[in-house]
Amino acid sequence: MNGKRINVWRWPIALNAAIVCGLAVALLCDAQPLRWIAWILVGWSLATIGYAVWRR
Amino acid sequence: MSNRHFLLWQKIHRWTSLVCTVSLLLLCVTGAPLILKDEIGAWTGATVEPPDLPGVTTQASVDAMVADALKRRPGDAVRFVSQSDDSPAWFVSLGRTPDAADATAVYKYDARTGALIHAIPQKRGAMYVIRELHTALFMGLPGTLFIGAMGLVFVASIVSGVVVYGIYMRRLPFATVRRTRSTRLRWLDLHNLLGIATTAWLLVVGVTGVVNTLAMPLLGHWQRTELTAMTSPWRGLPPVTAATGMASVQRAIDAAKRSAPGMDVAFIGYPGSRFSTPHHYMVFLRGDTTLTSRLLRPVMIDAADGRLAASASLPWYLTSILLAQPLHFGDYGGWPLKALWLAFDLVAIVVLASGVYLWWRRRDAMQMRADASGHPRANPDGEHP
Repeated sequence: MNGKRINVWRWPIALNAAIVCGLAVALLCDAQPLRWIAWILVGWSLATIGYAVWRR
Repeated sequence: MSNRHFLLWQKIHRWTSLVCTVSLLLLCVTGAPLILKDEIGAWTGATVEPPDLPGVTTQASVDAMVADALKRRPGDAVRFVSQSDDSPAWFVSLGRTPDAADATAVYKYDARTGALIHAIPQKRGAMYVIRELHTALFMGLPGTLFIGAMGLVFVASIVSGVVVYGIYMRRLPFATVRRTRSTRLRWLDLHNLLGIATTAWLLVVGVTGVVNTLAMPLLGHWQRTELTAMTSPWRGLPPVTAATGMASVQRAIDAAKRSAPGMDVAFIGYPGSRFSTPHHYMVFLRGDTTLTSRLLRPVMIDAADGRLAASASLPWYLTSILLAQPLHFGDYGGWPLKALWLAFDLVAIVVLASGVYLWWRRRDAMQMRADASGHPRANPDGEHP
C-alpha cells in the first residue's frame, strides 16, 4: 500500500507452526505439563488470529 | 515471479477450488456433528455409557458376553469382539456368517460385570446418514475413493492458495481487512486471512482424510500379501468351529496379552472373519499411551488349542493410516481438541463459501465492466482469485 515491501510469511509461519507443534505435542506426549504446553501454543495462535481480525 | 506465473497459479487455485468446493463443503458440514458424535450420541440415547461403579475392579469373562450375544440371535455368528478405549466396555459384533461384511447386531457389555448395556442400532439414524455421507456418499468403495480424489484436489487448492497469497499480500500488512472498500474486497481479505491462518490444520486434515480413504484397499493388499504369507503354514487345515472344538475367546485374549506385556486388546477377529483365518483368532493389541494406543499389533492365536501361533508388526502403510486417524478426527485430546476441531471446521466452511462468493462476484464485476467498455477485461481490480 505504501510501497514498502513487507515480510509476508512471518505471521503465517508463526501461527501455523504453533498450531502444528500444539497438535503434535498433544498427540505424542501424555505427561500433563506437556499437554498444557500444547494448549498454550494452540491458544496463542488462535488468540492472535482473533486479535488480528478484531483489530482490523 | 512474473505476472504470467502469478496468473497461472491464480488459475490453478481458482479451478482446483471450484472442482472440490461442493464436496469439501459437504465434508465440513457433515464433519461437525461427527466431531461431536459422542456428545450427540449421549444426548439422543444412541450411545449408552457403562454406569459408575465406585470400587468395582473386577473383569468379567468375555466368553460370557459372547454366549449372551449368541443367545439373543440364534443362528448368527460372531465376527469381531472389541474393547472400548475410553470406557470399561466390550462390543460383540454378529453377522449371518463370520465373514459377513455387514453386522446383524452389535451388543455393548459392561467390562466389569458382563451386563448388557446397549444394543447399538445398525444402519439407521441421523448419525449413520451423516457418517455415510462423510465417508462414502452411500456408494461404498467408489464413493470413498471419489472423496479421496477430491481431497487431493483440495490439497492442490491449498498449496496454490498459499502461493497466490504470498504474491498478493506483498504490500499489505498481515491480517489486513479493508472494511471501507467494497464488500467483495472485505471478503477477499477475510478469505486470505482465515485461509492462511488455518493452512496447517487444513493440510493436516486434508492429507489425513485422503490417507483414510485408502484404508480398505490397503487393508485388502495386506491381507493378500503379508497376512497370506503369515498364515501359510496353516493353509489347508480344516476350519475351526464350535462343532470341531474351539478354544474360548477369553483364552485367546489371555494368550495374546501374555505375548506382549504392557499391551491391551483392541479387537479380535473370530476364525473365518475378514480379519483372520478359518483356523485362528486374530487379536489386535494396542499400547497404553496416546500415540501407541492408536498403533495395533496383530497376534495370531490357534483357535483349536488357544496357543500363540504367530505375531507381527503391521506394515508401514497400515501404521500410517492408524496414525492419520487421530489427526483427522481430533479425538485424542479431550474436549479442548474437539472444540478446536469444531472451530477450525467452521472457519473452513467460511473460507470455502467465501471463495465461491468471490468467484461469483468476480464474474459479475468482469461482466459489468465488459458491458460498460464494450470489450472484456481480464481482472476487475487487480484482485484474486
